[in-house]
Amino acid sequence: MVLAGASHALSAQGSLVDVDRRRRDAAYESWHAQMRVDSLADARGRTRSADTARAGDVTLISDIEVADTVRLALAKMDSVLRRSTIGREPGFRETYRLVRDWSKVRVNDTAKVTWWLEREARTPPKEHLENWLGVPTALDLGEKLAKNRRDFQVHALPAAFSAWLGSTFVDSSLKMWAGTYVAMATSPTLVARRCLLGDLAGCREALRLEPVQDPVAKWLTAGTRREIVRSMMPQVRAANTEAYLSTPRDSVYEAAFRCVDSGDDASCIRYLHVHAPGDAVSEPLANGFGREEFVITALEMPRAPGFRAVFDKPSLTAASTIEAISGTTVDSVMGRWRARVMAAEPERVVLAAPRVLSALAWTFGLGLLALRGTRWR
Amino acid sequence: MYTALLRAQWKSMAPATLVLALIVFAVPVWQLVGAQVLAGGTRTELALPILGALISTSGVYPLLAYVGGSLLAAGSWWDDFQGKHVYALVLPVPRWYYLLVRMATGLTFVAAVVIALWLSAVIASGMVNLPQGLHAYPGGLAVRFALATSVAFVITFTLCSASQTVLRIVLWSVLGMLVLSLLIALMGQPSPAVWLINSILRWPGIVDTFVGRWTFIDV
Repeated sequence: MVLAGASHALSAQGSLVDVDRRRRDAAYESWHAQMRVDSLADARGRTRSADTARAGDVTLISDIEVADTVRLALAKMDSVLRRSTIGREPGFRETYRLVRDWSKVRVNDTAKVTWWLEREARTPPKEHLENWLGVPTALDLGEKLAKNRRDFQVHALPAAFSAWLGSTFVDSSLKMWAGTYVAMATSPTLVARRCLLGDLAGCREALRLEPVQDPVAKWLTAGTRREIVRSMMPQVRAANTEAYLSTPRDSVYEAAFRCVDSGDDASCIRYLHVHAPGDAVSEPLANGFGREEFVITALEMPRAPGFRAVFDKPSLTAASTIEAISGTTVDSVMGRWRARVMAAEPERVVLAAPRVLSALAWTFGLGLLALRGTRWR
Repeated sequence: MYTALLRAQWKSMAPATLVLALIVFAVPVWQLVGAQVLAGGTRTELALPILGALISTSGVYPLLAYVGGSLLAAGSWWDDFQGKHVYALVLPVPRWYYLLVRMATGLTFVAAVVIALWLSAVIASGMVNLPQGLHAYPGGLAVRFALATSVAFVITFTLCSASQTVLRIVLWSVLGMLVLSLLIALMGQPSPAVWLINSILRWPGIVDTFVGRWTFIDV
C-alpha cells in the first residue's frame, strides 16, 4: 500500500517535470524565433545603411559597422601600391564590396560570421575574391585589394612581357641590386661575363630579352661545359648502373664519359642538351635576377610614360614593352641598369683602409685609457 | 716580466684558450663544408647557393671575435682579481707599465687565436675547387677578425681596469640614456638612441669592424 502510494507520487512528480521541460523548450523556441526575426530586421536595417569609401579609382562598399576597418584597409592598399610600380595606374575604376554572409544570421557570435570580398564585374556574376571568418583586419583587406588591383593590371600587360618578367610584384623599394651583381659575377655563362665587362649586347642576352637558339653552345666555354659534366659524373655513374634509370649502354651517358675522358666538346654539348643542370644555361642571372630591377630602371627613366603605354597592346615583345614604358631605347635603359648594378658591388670581408684605421684608433685609444686604470685604489 | 706574466697567464688560461682556438679553427672548415652540403656540391653553377649559405652562417665570426676578445681580456685580469691585486702592488714597476705588459700578454693570446683562424681559412679554401666567380679571402678574414677581437679585448680590458666608482658611473650613464631615450620616444620625438646606435655601428664607430659582410669566400 505504502509502495503503491510512493509509486503514484513519483509518477505524478515525473509528469510535472515533463510539463516543465515542455514549457521551457517552447519558451526557448519562441525566444529563438524572435531573435531570428530581430536579427534579420537588424541586418536589413544595417544593409540599408551601407558605407562607401573611395581611394583613387577604387570604391569599396561595406556595412556601416566596418567603415573604420574599410578606411584603414584602403590606406593600407595605397601604401602597398605606392611601393609597387604596377597596380596604381589610373584609369582602372573598380568597385569592391565587403559583405556579411546573411545566410548565417542565427550565429550571434560575430567571430563566426563569414565576410566576403567581392569585385563588381563589368558583367554579372560578381567575382568572389576572398572570405574571412569574422571581420577581416584592415591589413588583410588592404593587401588583398592591392594584390587584386595589381593582378588586374598585370593581365592588361603584353603576354610576352609578363612571361619574361614572371609573377613578380615589381616593388620599387626593393634592394636586390647587390644580389644582381653577385648573380652576374658568379654566373658560369659567357654572356654574364660580357655584361659584367660592359658589353650591353651581353646584358641583353643575360636578361633573356632576346631568344637564343642554343645556350649550351653559345653561352658556355668548352672548358666550362666539360667542368659541368665532370661535376655531374657521380650522378651519371649512378644512373648508368641503375637499370630502372637507364640502360647500361645509353648513348647519352656514353657522351658524358667521352666528354670527361677524351675532352670531346661535341659529346659535352650532346650530354648537356639533355641533362643541363637547371639555371646553368637557362638563366644566366640565376632565377631571373635583375629583371625586376631592369623594369624599375625603365620606369624611372626621365619622362617615362609607365605601364599605361602598353595596356591593351598584347602583341608587344618584352623588349618593345621596355621601350614603350621607358620612352627610350632598350640600350639606354640597359646602360643605366648596368651602372646601378656595378655600383651595388657588395663590400667584401677585406676592410678598406679607413675602417682599419678606425679599428686601430679605437684599440689604441681604449688601450691608453686602460693604462690609467685604478682598479686597486 | 712579459715572459713571467705570459707563463703565469698560460697556466690559468690554457684550457679556455685552447678550446677557443679549436672552435675558431673549426669554423671556416665547418662553414665551407656545410655550405657545399647545403648547396649540393661545388659545381660551377652552384656559386650563388654556396655564397648564400656562407653569408647566412657568417655571423658566427663577429660573434666569436666578441666572445673571444672579451673572454681573453677577462682572463688577463683573472689572476689579479683572485689575488686582490697584491702581486701588482708589490712589483717595483709603475702601474701603467704593469698594465701595458698585462695587455700585451692578453693580446698575445688574441694573436694565437687569430693565427688559428687564418690557418683554418687557408686550409679550407685550399681544400675545395671554388666555382667560377668566387674567390677566397683568408687573409682579409684574419685581419678583420684580429681587429674585431682586439677592439672587443680592449673594451673589456678597460672596463676591468676601471675602479668600481667609474664602472658605476658608466652603468648609470647608460641606464640614464636608455630612460631618456624612452621618454623622448614616448613624447613622439625622434629618439637619440637611434642616432647613438647608428654612430656606434657605422664608421668610425667602435663596432664598425663587427658590422658587414664576413664571408671569406666571396665574389
